[in-house]
Amino acid sequence: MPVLPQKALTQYAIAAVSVSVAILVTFYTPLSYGAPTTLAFGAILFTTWYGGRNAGFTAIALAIVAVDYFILPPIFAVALDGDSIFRLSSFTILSSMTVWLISSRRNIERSLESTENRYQLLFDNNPVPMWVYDLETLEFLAVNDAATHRYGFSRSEFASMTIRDIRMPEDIPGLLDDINKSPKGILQSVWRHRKKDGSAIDVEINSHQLMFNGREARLVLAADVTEKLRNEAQVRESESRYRTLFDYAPDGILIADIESRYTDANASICRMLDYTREEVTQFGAEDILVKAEIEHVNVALDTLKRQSDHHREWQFKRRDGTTFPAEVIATLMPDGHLMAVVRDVSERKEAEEKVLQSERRFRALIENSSDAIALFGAEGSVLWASDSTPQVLGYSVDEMVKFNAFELIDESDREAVAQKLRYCLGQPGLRVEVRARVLHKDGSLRLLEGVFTNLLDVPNINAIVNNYRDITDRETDEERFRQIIEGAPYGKLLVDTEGKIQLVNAKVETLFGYEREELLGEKMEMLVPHRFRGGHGGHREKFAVDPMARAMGTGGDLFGLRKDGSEFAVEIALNPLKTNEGMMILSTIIDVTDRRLAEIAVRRSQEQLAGIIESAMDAIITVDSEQNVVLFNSAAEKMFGYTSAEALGKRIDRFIPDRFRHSHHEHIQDFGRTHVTRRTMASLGAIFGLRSNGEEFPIEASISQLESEGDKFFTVILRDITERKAAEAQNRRLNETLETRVVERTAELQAANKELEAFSYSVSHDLRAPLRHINGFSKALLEDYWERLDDTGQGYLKDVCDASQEMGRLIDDVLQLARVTRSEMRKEVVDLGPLAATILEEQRIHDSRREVKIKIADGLTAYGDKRLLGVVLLNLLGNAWKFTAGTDNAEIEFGLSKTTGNLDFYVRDNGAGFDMAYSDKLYGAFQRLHSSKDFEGTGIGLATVQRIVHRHGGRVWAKGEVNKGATFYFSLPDIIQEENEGQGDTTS
Amino acid sequence: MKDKVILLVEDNPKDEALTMRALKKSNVVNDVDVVRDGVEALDYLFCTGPYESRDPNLMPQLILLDLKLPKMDGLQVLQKMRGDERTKRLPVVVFTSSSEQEDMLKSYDLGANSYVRKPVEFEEFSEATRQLGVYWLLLNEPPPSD
Repeated sequence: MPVLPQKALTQYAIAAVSVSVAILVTFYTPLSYGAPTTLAFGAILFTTWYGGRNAGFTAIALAIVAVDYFILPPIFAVALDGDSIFRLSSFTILSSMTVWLISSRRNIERSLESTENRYQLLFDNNPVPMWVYDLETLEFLAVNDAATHRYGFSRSEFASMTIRDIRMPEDIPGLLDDINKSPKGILQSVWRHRKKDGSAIDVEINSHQLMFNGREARLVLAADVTEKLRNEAQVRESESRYRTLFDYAPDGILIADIESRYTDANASICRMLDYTREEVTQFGAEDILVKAEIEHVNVALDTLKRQSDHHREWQFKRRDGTTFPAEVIATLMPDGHLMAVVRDVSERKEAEEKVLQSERRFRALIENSSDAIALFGAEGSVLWASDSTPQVLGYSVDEMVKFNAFELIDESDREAVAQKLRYCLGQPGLRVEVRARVLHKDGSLRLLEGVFTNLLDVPNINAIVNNYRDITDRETDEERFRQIIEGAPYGKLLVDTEGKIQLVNAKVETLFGYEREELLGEKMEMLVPHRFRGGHGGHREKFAVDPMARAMGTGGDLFGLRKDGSEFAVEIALNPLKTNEGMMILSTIIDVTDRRLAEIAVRRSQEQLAGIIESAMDAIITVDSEQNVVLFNSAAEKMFGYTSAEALGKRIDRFIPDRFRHSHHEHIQDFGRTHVTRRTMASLGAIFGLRSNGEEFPIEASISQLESEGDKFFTVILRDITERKAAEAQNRRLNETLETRVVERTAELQAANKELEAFSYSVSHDLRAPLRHINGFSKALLEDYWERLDDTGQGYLKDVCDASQEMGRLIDDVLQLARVTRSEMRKEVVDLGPLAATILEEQRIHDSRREVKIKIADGLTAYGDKRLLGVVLLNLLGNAWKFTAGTDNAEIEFGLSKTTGNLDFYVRDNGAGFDMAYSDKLYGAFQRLHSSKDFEGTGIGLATVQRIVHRHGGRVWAKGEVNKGATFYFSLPDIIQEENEGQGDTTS
Repeated sequence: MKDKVILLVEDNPKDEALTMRALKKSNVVNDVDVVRDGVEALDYLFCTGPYESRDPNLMPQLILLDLKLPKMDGLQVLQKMRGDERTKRLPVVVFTSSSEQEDMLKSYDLGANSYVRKPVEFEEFSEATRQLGVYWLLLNEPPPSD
């Protein structure tokens, strides 16, 4: 059972009460007949007004029942006469209409009321300050609680204010303007408002125009954004501080997202990597690290997630592939990004590496030195010994450092060494040479030579450093010297100050032809030719006084004297040599006979050169820097008409026409100044020369300069080009004639073309006329006189007709072939599809009995002459149509296969086909592969096709098989390519 | 009353015979006047020379004009006609052996109403002639005379 809602119950109750009251009033107030109805009507009205439609209708029902029961005789008890039914129904209808009207109006009022209430509530309790102001007077019409709190004015204060009072004084001038200009819709803007205490707040204003109590007003919502703006400013400031820090940090900084893709990079890192910021922000770690490092990236990222920072040295890769090491501190930032601070440590590394290297080098130096080193304390105790110690003294390093140096020095030398050491101790940095005999581990005495260096003050050393070596074997060194002398490639001669030969080598023996024993102890003058001997001794003595290494005989004036008395040219170098036996002179003797021979060869070649210059075809003239002739060969004599004797010493001007003299002079001087082009040839181009008889002639010249012993010479090579000039002129004339001839020939060709056209025209016109007559009159004969001809006669006449028709077709085809060759081409974009469809449709109309399946592909667009391409299609499709005549299920396909740069169109049929063996005959004019009996035709169609396609720059080919159909292809250059290459040649 | 006259401008008597035969067979025409060269054609049209006595108000309803004519060729005749008030609107069908593009273009440029090529085959020739007669004499509305 449905439970009635409380509201409905209330309505029913009201209805019951109203009707009851009406009945009671009726009972206690004696009124005339009809009052109960009025009262009941009143009750219904009241109920409806208060409770609405449902209550109203309930009241009607109750009123009818109550009146019927209490006041009138019950309806069911009386006979229903017309009057009572009329009254009752009138009452019912009238009251129902009233109820309906009242309740409708009431509903509208209620809903209005509740809406208003809701808005009022929304306005009053809104936490955002709101107000309504009059657009005309700018007075506040209403304000909400939030506004009074926020602005500090009470409601009554607001009531006497205008919106000017809450604006900053400086904003007021623009205010009215703003309000007038504002559109009627919702407005949003940020303003600065003034509170009661005078302080300012930033507010975001949303306003909306409305009617308020009959006045044009604007509802304003003013959200306080002071805090928000301040926060934003702070964020901006900290952002920019961070940005500056980021951009100007000396270390590289990279920001990466969690997938290790970089989102930001500062200037330093970009400089280090030699990428722009835009490039880096496209990168990940793999782009800027060397390959070997990439596997470590993920490990580092894991560590970073656990510990929130990570420190490691990485090897980076620059744009150019070079690498550098850098220390990287990576941090996980609060927003989940990674920040990596990168410091290039390559310089530090390099420095470290340098130190390491120099240490290594130093150590190697010491260890590989034949010298040994020992560090002593001031009193002589060995503090450190180098690894080479055992080689010199036999003691190991460990044994060595247990000694005091003086324990090892021979008694006889001890005091001298101690003295030197003391001397050395007196002055920091001083070096003192020491020589002493020292006891070797094997018991022998060795003579050591060394240097004490006082480095007691030098940090890390604080010792006397002693470099020493064993010189016991120096005697044997002399033997080594002898061996060097002996093996030398030049003669070596050791002479003492008295001129006696002390030492000679094998080369001296072969040079002079003496045995060694014959020379030793003898005076060296025996090796000098007699004529030089006189001064030689004196020279030698001078050398002994002022011994200086020098070379002799470079002037070619020294000779050696062999045992057999012959002489040979020598060069000698002298070196003073201090030996234990006193001063000696070491002479190095070189046989320069060969060199002399070479010099002779040079002289000879110079003579040859002179010969060449003399016999040259070209004139060769050399002038000095004063431009005076110093060389004038015989060709020059012939060319200019002067003898060499006349020309030498004369100025070059004499050989140049007046008008060129000045420029020529300048030219030579300019050339002379260009040191860069020294000895290179410089062309002077075509100039003129002047013969002795005053005749000018064209010459071609080249010039070179040579500096010899401080003097500058210019050599000019000249060629008389009079004849060549003449030849050139002749050539030019010939060329000109040639051009006229070309013009003539072109004209002839044009004339020939005209003739050809005239020929075609006459073929077209004149040849056809007689044919037409043959055909026409034969037909007329057949029609008018057939009864006079027997069957054979009629047959002959038919043959005449056929032959003339055939001839007519031939003429047409030949004409077309000729036309496609010479007609002008107008290239455009042509869609071959519709063209083909039209042609095939014509064939179908012409030959309607046949069923042919036709397939035409889409997008058969070509670039070419529309009319000519139409002829191609007419022939190919016409052939396809013709040769499928005897085929069941005949099919013709027109399509396209694209290859690079070309469009390959094809027409395929399944008709009679052809034998590929004869494919070369396809395109010849009048060539046919089928008999006229099987297929009609003139054999010109494919020749025409080929010509047209060739003119378009394409080619034609075909595939076929007897009785299995044929495919004819024609390629055309691709549209796009053609257009790119420009319109190019539209005629040919 | 010569109301539907065709003027045939044709120098070749054989072509003339064939054309006449075809026109006769087509039953569309009563009268065909023939002239044999361009000059004669103009004489005919402008009633000069041998045609002095012709009634200049009787203009042919159609002119079949061959292009290759003695003295003055068809194109010149056409040019003269189109340049003259009396003949500039007369329907002219160029009826020729030539299928040269050049001839075709020139004819149309000079104001030919139609260009028909004489086919070699007689039946086609007859058909072409018949259709010309039917179209120009029966279907086509001639230009109103002044």
